[in-house]
Amino acid sequence: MATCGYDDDGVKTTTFPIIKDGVFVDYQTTRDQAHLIGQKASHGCSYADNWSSVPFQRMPNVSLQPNEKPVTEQDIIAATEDGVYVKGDSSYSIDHQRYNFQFSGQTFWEVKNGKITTQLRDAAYHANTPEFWKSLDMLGGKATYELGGAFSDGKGQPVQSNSVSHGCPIARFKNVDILNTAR
Amino acid sequence: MIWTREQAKALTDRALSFSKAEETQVTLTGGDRANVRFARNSVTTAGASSGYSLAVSAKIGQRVGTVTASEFSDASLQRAVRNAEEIARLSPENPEAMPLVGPQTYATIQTYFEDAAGASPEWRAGAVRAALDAAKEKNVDAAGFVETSAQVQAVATSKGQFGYGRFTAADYNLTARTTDGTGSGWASKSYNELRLLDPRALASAAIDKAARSHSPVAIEPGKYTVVLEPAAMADIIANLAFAADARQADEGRSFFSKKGGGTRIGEAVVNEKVTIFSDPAHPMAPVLPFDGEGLPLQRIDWVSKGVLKNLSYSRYWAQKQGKTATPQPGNLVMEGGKSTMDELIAGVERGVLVTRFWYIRSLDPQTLLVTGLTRDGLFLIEKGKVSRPVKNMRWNESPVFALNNLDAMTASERAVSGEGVGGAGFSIVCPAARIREFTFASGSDAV
Repeated sequence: MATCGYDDDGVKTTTFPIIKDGVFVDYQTTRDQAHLIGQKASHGCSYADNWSSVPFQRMPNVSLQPNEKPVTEQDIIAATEDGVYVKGDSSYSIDHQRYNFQFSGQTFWEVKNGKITTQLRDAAYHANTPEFWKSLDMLGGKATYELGGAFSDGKGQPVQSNSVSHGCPIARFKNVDILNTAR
Repeated sequence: MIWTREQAKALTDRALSFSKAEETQVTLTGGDRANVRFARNSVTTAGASSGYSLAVSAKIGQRVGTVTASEFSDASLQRAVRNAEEIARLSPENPEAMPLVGPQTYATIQTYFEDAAGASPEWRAGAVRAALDAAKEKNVDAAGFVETSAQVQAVATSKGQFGYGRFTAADYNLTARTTDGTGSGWASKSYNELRLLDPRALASAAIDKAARSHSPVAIEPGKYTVVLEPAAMADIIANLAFAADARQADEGRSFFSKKGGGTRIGEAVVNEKVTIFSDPAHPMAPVLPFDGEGLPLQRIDWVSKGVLKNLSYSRYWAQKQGKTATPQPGNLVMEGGKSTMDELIAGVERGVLVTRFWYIRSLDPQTLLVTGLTRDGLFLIEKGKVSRPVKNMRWNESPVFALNNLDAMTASERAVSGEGVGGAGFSIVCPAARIREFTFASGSDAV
């Protein structure tokens, strides 16, 4: 959805890790920024939304890599005693330093003793970003990987709207707050 | 100088003359914009741009194709028109495509002011200097953006409609942060007239707020009485108004749907103190007298003394329901009250003062429940006085419930919301307000 051969600095794009084995290892950079952190080349993250807009640092895509082992959706459900399975994305809101987030989904399902029992309504989930990622305890394999994204990700001032995509396998997180959004 | 009516008309006539489609609409937008950006107490970039683009929409039967051109030679315009026609022929039929509008009569509204159109680089630099000087004096880091612009919009159809308007805007916003990273303040304003924008006052408000908000403590989430500054109120009324769509209501998908069918027009939906309308000629928020389809704008009452008066009807939905279409408004105005800000605060036993909101998203269209966060200055109010800064919080609340729980307001003013609603192009006028039982859901570590 948002994959580019070259960024708007003319830098050839590559695949590079941001987090590897749970450790933060690198930044998204433009040519103007790479030298500030002692790097010799940009990672090709300079984009404008239009021929007449000024490019700035943003990513076309960031993806969560799947488990190398062929873990399936069924494996994850079967291993879950008491949980909620969220399918599809819906409402999303996160604070300006990316700590407190609250997201909803297209559908929510109750999981009891390794089985999906019933659909849930009026749900959202909430967490603090670093704590949430530390609570990841199961990750699906390649077969569960899907690419999603948006055509209108707003950034910058004056605001520019651009495509962005994210690929993800199914993932399980422990002890996440679920909210009832009904009033 | 930005394009005159005559220049715009000559271009739209020329583009329409190349058309072979059944109906064609052309829309010219553009003008002059200039800005200065600053960060970490220093100017970082300054720029000016001048440019125009022409969108050509060709309609063949129920098929529509649109192409945008930014070069206006005959050859370029002909290419744009041909491409729009080709795209139309290749497109599926849109059963809801409406015939283009014919000749219209528009009100004369002054939206263009020489002082903003003529704002000099020195003025913009001076506006930034005011913030930098004050920030250094108070030992905070300031970052922001000032932009002045003069813009043109013209809409013409092959059925004889032509509208031309020009408007000016002066926008200024800044964030100030304490050097220890524990305090943050913000201010943002947008006016058609440069003389109304006071960079010194805005800088002082943001910087003072940053200094007062350092080292906040966390308080328990829950229900609090809130005093919302106009920037926060702007998001509350925008989220109500943007959901006021007749089709969603008729189809049972909205808070404005009536149980059993129809809409809630005529019902009291919020507190009787609340009156919200759009008026292109409002003296504090003048906007162009026509919308993107060429429909003439007029005053529309959305909520009068708490009663829902109108919902937004697209041209398609209006003809289907036998109603009059509502043009897309260019502003939103909420009538204010008679309290001062100090009086709003004095009436709070225990509550919070909110500077602005951030990242508001829908949770439930049936109740209009939305979620968002506070940002850049959240203060505890105890026994009628602002007592201390508190950490930001996430809230889950419906504008409908909030406007039902409103009990006092200041006079209205031009406001730009934390989400950017109310800046150049769409104006908001609203008061600060005191609202009971506003629901905070969780704490946030963000400063």
